[in-house]
Amino acid sequence: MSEMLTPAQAAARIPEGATVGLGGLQGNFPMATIRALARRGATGLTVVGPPVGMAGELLIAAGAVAKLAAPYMGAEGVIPVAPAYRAAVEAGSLALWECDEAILLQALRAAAQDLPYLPWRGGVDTDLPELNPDLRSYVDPLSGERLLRVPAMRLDFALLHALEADERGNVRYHEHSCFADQALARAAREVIVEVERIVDHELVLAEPERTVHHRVDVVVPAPCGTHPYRAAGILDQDDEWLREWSQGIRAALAAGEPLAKAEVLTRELGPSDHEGYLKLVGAERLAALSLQGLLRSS
Amino acid sequence: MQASALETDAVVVSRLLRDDDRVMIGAGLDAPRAGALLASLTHAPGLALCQSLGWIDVASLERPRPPRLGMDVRDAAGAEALMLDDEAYDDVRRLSTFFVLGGLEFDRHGATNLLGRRGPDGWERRGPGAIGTSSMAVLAERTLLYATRHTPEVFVEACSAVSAHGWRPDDPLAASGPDLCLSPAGLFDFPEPGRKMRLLYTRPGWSAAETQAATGFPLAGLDDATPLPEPQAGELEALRERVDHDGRLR
Repeated sequence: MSEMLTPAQAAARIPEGATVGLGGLQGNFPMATIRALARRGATGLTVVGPPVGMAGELLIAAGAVAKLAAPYMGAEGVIPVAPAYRAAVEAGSLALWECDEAILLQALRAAAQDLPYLPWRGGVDTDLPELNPDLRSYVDPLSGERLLRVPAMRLDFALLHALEADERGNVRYHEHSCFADQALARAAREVIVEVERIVDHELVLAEPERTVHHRVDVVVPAPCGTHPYRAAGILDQDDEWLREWSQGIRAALAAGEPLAKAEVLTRELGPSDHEGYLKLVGAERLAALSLQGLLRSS
Repeated sequence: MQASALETDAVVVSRLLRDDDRVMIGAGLDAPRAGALLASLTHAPGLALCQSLGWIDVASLERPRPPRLGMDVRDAAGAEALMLDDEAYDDVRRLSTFFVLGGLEFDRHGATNLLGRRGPDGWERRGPGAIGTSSMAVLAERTLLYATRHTPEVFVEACSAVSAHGWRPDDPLAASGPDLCLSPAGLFDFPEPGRKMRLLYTRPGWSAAETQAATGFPLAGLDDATPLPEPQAGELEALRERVDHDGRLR
């Protein structure tokens, strides 16, 4: 049986120095638990994910991340390059495992299959092997082709956000919105999934083809937990909030202030829990972002 | 009608595309994305454009979305198929016939850098990361490099860090490099045998000599380059009326 926890309780399961995969891509970032993790003062994490954007950026700004494995750090058209990430890398305080999307997915796949590595064609003749000593090019003995040996990326935790789950931890997504979450879940020792709502087990039984993750370890009810990112089918992206984040971090960096004291970070982490955060965002703002009209009618 | 530089970029990309192309374009590259939409609406109605992990049948749309973010789910309207991110690379032979990638730096053999500029003590200016380019540069049938600036700091003798490979003509095990490069100064290719960047077409405001002066390595083809053919009125009209609704490229 899956455990049902609050974001703070879920964050408490993640010890210092853990390797954590963050789900989501164009939304569905598990921001409620990420905020709880930062609020707790987590340190030494290795953060892994397909583009992790502000999800990873918030943890970096809070001083929680020692190493990052992500092919892109920004928020697409809103924040081209995440400023706290850029500053930490340039200061030498954040280690990187350089990869592109496909190489990272291959590393997760190797972990899911419990293999030491998998071959891949992309990244050959780039500087990625020089930058990552464990990413080596080799000549394949069968084909004679030069390939990349991609080591397994084993995760301690996959931290995801989905639409709904039942009490047994069977997780469903809105339409086609699970992005690379399955790859992260399969590579992880423990799977924690935030959801917008809890549904009856009978509903899951009636539509087993919709179950994407079967009996995950932890379910975290967190409606609108992705804010300021999109929750597929529920909430649109809050572009203005993301811009304010980027501007606030850049202003703090320009002023030479410690990021831990940046106003936008204290805004994120000030409320003591997820409910408090949603109050800070405000019902009117959330209603304006609603994709379903559910918030408007409540 | 006078075309802007970005509108011309879109038309150049459009003319490179075929009816059977499967087009993938790097995030944030609005003009090439507009070019793919334009091609779909003019000479290549069968073209499929990957937008926000959806394969868009642009020609079926009455009013395609203006080019915007490219990796935003709000841009996936009109998709006839969707990809899961972790399945996108499981069908590599059908993944893409045409890929457009940007970069912080480009070298004479078409290697690109999205990682950042390195100094003796580490990263001096960190970029966004390789995104999907290290693999897509190998997997796509044809590749166009797209530069939004043409300066010696962008077109460099050697990239500070290579995130997508270029041509290595002397290495029998090396994969093919990019086909073309489009910059504000001109359109370039990488001819055999040396696979070094050659100026094919100059653009308004840029002579061949000025282009060389803004390039950090010797360019081939300076004496033979001709002016880039201008967008035709019909192309520009279609671009403005059916693609670039909000005039971002003007």
